[in-house]
Amino acid sequence: MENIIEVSNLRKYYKTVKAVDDISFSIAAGKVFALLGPNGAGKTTTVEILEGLRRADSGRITYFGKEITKVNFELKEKIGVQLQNTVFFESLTVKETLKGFSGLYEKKFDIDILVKKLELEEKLNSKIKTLSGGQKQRLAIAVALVNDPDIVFLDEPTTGLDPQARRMLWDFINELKSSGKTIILTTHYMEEAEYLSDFVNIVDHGKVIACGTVEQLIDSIGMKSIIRFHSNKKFDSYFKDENLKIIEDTALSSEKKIYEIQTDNVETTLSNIFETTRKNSLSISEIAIRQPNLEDVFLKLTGRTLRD
Amino acid sequence: MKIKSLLSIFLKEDFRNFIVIFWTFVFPLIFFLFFTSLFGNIGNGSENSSDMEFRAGIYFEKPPTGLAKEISQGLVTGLGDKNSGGPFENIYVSSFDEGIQLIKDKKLEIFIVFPENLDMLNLKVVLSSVPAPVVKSYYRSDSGSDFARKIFKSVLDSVNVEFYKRISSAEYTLEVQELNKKASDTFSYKDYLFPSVLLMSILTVSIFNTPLSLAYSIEKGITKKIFTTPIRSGHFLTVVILENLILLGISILLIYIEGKLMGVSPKAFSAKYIAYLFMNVITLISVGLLMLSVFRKLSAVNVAANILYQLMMFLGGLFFDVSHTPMIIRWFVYINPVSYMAQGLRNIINGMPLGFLNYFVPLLWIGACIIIFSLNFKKVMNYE
Repeated sequence: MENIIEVSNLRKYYKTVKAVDDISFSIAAGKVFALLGPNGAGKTTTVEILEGLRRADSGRITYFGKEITKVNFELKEKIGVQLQNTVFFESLTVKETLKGFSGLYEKKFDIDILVKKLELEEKLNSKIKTLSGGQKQRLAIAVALVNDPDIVFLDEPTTGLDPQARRMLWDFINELKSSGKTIILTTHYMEEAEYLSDFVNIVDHGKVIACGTVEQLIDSIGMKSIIRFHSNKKFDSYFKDENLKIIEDTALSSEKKIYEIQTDNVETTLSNIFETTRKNSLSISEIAIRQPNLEDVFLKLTGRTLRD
Repeated sequence: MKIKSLLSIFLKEDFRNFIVIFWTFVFPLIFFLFFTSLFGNIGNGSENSSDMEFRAGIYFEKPPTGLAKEISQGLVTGLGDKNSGGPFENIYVSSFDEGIQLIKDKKLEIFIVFPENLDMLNLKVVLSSVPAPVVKSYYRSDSGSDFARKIFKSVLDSVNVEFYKRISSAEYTLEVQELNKKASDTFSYKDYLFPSVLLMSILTVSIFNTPLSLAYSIEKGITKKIFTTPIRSGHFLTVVILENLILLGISILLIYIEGKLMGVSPKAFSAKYIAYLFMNVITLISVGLLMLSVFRKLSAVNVAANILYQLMMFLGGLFFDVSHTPMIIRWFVYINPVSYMAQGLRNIINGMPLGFLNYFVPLLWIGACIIIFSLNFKKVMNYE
């Protein structure tokens, strides 16, 4: 498949901070490419270089097979950008904002369709200052699409949204993908990356620490299944296994802890857990078995969670 | 087309912002109306003579002849005789004692005595041994208009000086027309205030609106969003300047309409006046951009704008004379472009020519501001 964007050895340093440190990747046309990482990992700086908002210290960027030194206006006609924090003019209505931004491009998308798809019809004549956080976020995405772009940059599009609003946006992003648009998504939600992405780059401290499809990344850490349970005593004092980990959870009392254990053999491990519990008169609850996810990949690679 | 779309966004936002509307359009109009109503009578005899009750007693110790007669009559008329449309009622009295009695009886506010030797003014030779005629005046301490009394006094002082010069040197400089002008025509408060209101409005837009709206757009990320679209930073700056020029244009138009209704001098409507005003607009918008390139942060720009606005307005001679301020602050008067602008605009209204500094200082500011802003443009815009 044709690569629409290719990035190699991209660097951006701010004094002592290496915001982007020798990052390379390529993005295939019509796919969703995710940059996953914790806050401050360098995701936004990377996409802002690609959007033409920042200048890289070094590195090579290719758009549509042509190397570029800066994002020119011809290219800006083909991209749509939803920034991490988009502020619009508070006194303008949704309709005026969309029309205003549409007027900045040669190519235009039907605003009525956009408004309908993003469920902003009822708010069309409402002023921006009256919109909720979710509605503003949907408007930001709508504005990013007013020029019917080939490439859409979505920088943490669902941050701060409630689960319902998040799910609605995920469906919309999937719909965008179905229409053939290339989407570059940054997120620190591993569920979002898993649900939406065809290809994921896990970024930390300005570097790509892992890349591939979601399946490839999970397979790469060699985990099979994870058993999760709560115990009210020091379970780890009685159950000795190098794969047993305590998951910090401040909501629980100091006596009660959440444990997770990776295993290739769920039945045997479960049997051992129950045996330990019975012999030592321990109490366990809320036992769950889950498959490894991108959070586990990040944890395995960095020793930290995505929220750290 | 792109500029038009962006300009439309900015203007819609402005016209829905109460603060912008009030300070840019409404406040200058209220200010002009309020202060002209409050102080409009000052020195303006032609319109408000009916409101003023100021009676001046005139007594000639000896009826003057020739040039002395001409000068004294011109002076009396020039002081604003009600019969000739002036603010004062002149009452001729037959004796000095009668005049003093009328003062005591509160029937006169001022009593002017032309001396017996007034005819000395008719002599064409210099007689240094001859005393110069002195016009004396007597006032009632509880006189109704302190201001009018001061006008009388200052005019009579000037007249006496001229009389002295007439007698003690060959040079004759006293002109009745000049006296007339000083007494009733020269000072019109609304003509004095009109340029002040115009400059105040320009200052509001250039020192407040322009840098604050830019700083807000930059700090809140509005410009960042705009720079993701095919808009050049130069286009963006053009839009912001156009936006503020349109706001100013409307504000100035409204002030002009109000000025017309209030009878401001026709000279304020001349092409020269408007052209000079436009130069002032460009100068002050440049100053606003300079301020933005120095301070950048919204909070810092806000503080700087408030301080600079007050300094430029009050030490620019908009509302009072600043030529005699203490030296510790007078330096600001000298470097303040508004000082030269206000003086220039008033010169045009008063039919006087514009001086070199009236052009040079504003142009110097334009040049310096544009150079400094251009050098800092990328940093100001947070543009890499």
